[in-house]
Amino acid sequence: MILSYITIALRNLLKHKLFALINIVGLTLGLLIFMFSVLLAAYEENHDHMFDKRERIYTLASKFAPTSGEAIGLYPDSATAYGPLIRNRLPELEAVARAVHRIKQVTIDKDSYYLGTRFVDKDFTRIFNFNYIHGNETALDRPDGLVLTRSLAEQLFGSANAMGKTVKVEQSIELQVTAVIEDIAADSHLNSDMRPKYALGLIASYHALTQIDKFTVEGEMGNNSAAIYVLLPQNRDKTWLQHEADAMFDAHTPEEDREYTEALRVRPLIMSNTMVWDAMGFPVMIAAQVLGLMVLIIAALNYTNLAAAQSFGRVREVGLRKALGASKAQLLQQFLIESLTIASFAMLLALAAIEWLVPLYNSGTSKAVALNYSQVLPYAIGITLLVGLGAGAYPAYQISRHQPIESLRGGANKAGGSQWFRNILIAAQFSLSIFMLAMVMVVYFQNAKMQELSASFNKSDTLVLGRMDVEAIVPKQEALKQQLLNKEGIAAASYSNAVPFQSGGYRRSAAARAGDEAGRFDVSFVSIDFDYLRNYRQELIAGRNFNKQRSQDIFDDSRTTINVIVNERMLQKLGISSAEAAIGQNFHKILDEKYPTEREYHIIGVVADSYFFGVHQPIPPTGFMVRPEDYRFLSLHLLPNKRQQGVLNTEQTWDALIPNYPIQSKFLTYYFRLFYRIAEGINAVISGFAGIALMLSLIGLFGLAAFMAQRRTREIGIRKVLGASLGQVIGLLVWQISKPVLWSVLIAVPLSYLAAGMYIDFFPESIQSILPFVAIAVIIAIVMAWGIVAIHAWRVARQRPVHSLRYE
Amino acid sequence: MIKLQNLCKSYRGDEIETIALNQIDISMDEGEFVAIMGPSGCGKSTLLNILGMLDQPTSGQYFFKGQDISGYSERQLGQLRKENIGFIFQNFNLIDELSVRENIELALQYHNIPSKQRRERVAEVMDRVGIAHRADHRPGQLSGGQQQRVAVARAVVAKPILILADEPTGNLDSSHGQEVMKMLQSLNREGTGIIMVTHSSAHADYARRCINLFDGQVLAENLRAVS
Repeated sequence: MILSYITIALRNLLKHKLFALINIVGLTLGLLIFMFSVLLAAYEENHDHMFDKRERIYTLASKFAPTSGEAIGLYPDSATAYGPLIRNRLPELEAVARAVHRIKQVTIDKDSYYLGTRFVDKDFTRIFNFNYIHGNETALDRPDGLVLTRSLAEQLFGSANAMGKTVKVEQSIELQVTAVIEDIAADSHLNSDMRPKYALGLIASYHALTQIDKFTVEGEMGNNSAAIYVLLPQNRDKTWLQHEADAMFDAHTPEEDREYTEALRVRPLIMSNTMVWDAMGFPVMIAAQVLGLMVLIIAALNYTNLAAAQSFGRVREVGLRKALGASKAQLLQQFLIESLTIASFAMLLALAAIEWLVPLYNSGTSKAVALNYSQVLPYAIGITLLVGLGAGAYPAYQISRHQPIESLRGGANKAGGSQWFRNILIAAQFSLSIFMLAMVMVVYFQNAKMQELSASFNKSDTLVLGRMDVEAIVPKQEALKQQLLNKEGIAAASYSNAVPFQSGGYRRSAAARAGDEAGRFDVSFVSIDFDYLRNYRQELIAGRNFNKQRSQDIFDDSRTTINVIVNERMLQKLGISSAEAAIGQNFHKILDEKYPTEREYHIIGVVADSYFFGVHQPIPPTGFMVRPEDYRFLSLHLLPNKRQQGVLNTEQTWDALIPNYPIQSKFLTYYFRLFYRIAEGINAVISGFAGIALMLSLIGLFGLAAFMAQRRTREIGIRKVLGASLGQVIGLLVWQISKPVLWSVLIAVPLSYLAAGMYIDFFPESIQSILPFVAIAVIIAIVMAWGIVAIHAWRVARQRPVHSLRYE
Repeated sequence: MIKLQNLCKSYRGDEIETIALNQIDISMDEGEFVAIMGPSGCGKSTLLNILGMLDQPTSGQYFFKGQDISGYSERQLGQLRKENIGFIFQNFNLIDELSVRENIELALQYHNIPSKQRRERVAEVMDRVGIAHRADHRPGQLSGGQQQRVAVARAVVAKPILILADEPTGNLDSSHGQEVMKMLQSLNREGTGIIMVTHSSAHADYARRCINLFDGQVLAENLRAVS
């Protein structure tokens, strides 16, 4: 019996090819998007499965205080001091290890590389069970030990057998390879792609770090750069650890540091990977899954609507079956099996498409998403049943409930469910489409807004050379700059300790009057050279630029007063009404234990506000000063038409002057992208989903228009016989479908307004108004709906009336 | 008013060509009542559809009011049809979703007639066919005879000079059939031309002239004594 139902279902599909195509394509797309979004979310949320003890591993994250001025609430790393503190406080912990990630210059014989290196406490290898090719977990017990991954060992030494080889770090210390481990799969937080060169490669001891950077083994309070891993004993849980971490925080954290970090958050290792998203405060993972679900719902609604409409054509078949003795239950069963057949077919296609998409996605993102059937299959079957039964229930019920005689007579108008119900389905579908379309536009234009705000910096013609603060390079800074300025393609060059979007510089507390604790605020200081503001086209609106001839313009640690140029936001903080009035005014550093030297800042110029520190946060009060010992970057402004030449000349000049150190050059665009790729990623995902959602709705509408026109064929014929023109007939059909589409506007507009409002609230500077975008989304949806229905109506209406009348 | 010359209509199927009308020559004067008779499949309805400009001949000429309209576009035909012809069908062809009043008014809606005037004309014609008391009912709520009266009302409301009726009594019992024929007769007496396809020779007797079709050809044409 069931086999015969399936056969009939397949025959029906073949008979109504257009409807079958629409139904299957629609459901396939819906299932594809939904399954894919769930797969991606599961991938991101199920990292670090390769570590045996992962259920007992926790991290200590920092919760930033509102006074910190940070744009994010939660940060995965915390102060290096907390590692030893929690270790000493809780002897029962099985292991505690800090890991500080730094990009370091690594030299083997004569070749130098910049490699991401983790400096870790020795228990790191006891918390994470790596697969050792050579050596074992004691590898970092000696302070000069070094662990390499297999691929890095092969890259650096030509084979995995690198045991005992010597590696020089930052030209100052020598480490020996004491272990080689197998590479860690991409789905570990240790390989997260959110930071440059973050993937696991080199692991050295924390002790090594203390020799090359300003770190101490016991750690510092103000240095939030350590990932702290804790391995809990079997009998303890997260709540206990959080309690203890809170007590430790209260006991040891100095007052001034609490203004920056207000608490520690114990988080399971499993959540480490999604932390970036959590930190942003925007539920990206949930949003992706909800959007995926929305698309699936649209597809299911489509199916229900079309199937209900189509059942109209099968009333006679049902009547006949009833007359031959079929019960209502049997008919219900028949139609449900039909919809299940279609849903299964769509699911198979969707899985095939995912098989094809996953490798593409992986190669595009350097992730390792895998379609694991033992996990996916039960889920896929469940979804298929849900969609098949859910979407098929209404049409099946509608068609099986009629009296046989009614059906045999072709009680056509009663079949296919009420117009009212179908209108609700269309309205729901279109509401979702308009909503998604509006969101895409808001996200897109918000991104464009950020691009526009950042446009005051010439991103694509500015080449930034990094690591200018390396001891061996510092003496050559001036020579390098002079030589480069003489080369073709390079228009200007300037040094600084921070470049736009890279969030460098440093922060100090200051106030208008010395020692005024109540009036204190944070100032971001950037150290620049004499040409910097001019080269970056930062316009002075009052006062003068720094001048080489004036000795007070150069920072000197022995002098109390320093000349600075400030931005407009600074004037607001100081309560100065105009830029002109600010010239010659002073403000003061607020002293504390860490920065006890007295300092008075003398304003010599004012620049317009710019988004130097990125668009993700409000522009902070900023002070520029000339302080050569801080320089870390050299910004080269290339001539747009000689960019290639400029890059080439830069590399040649560098190699000739500083042969021991590889050049570290990036266009400013790189720093910008580094910052905004999350926003860009969200945009891409939402656009894709919304595009498909709208497409599905339109496909559905097309099917429905086809059905409606078909159903009204005889009426169209009568109207034409009575003299209706082509336009009048089209108008009739278009109006019929317009009603539910107009309802959907009423639902979608407030909904998208709210959601878009929430989204742009994440940005300090946002697009002026959301309404125009919502309006455009509405117009696009309606115009496309009308267009599709009108095209169909036209095809039906231009037939000779005799064909229409003969129909049925 | 109408003149068909050498008119042919054929349908091309997958393998065979079916000839529905073969070299028809007919003419008809204004105000005439003509019946078309013949067995099933002889081409009666095809002829009527071509006469009513719902379908176009494959070859031959169709003069309507002296103009050859065989080359007219769908639009031109629509205009001509709207102004001159009313239709009555065997299966009534009323729109189920509209009330009796609305169904009748539909024929005026496409004529650019002000709504007040439209309502008056509809009321008048409903009185005349005796359906005024069911004005707000849907076709589904009426008997077959009542439905056909609505259809007649719709056919005449725009005051056409010609009414084409395709077996108007085919779905009715004899007394209702009689009623409809009387209506057509009185319309004809007021000057409206009528062409009616029928199986019933009793009803054909209402016509002044009868054309017998067989296999798509005119077999005989005879004048009848008007009863």
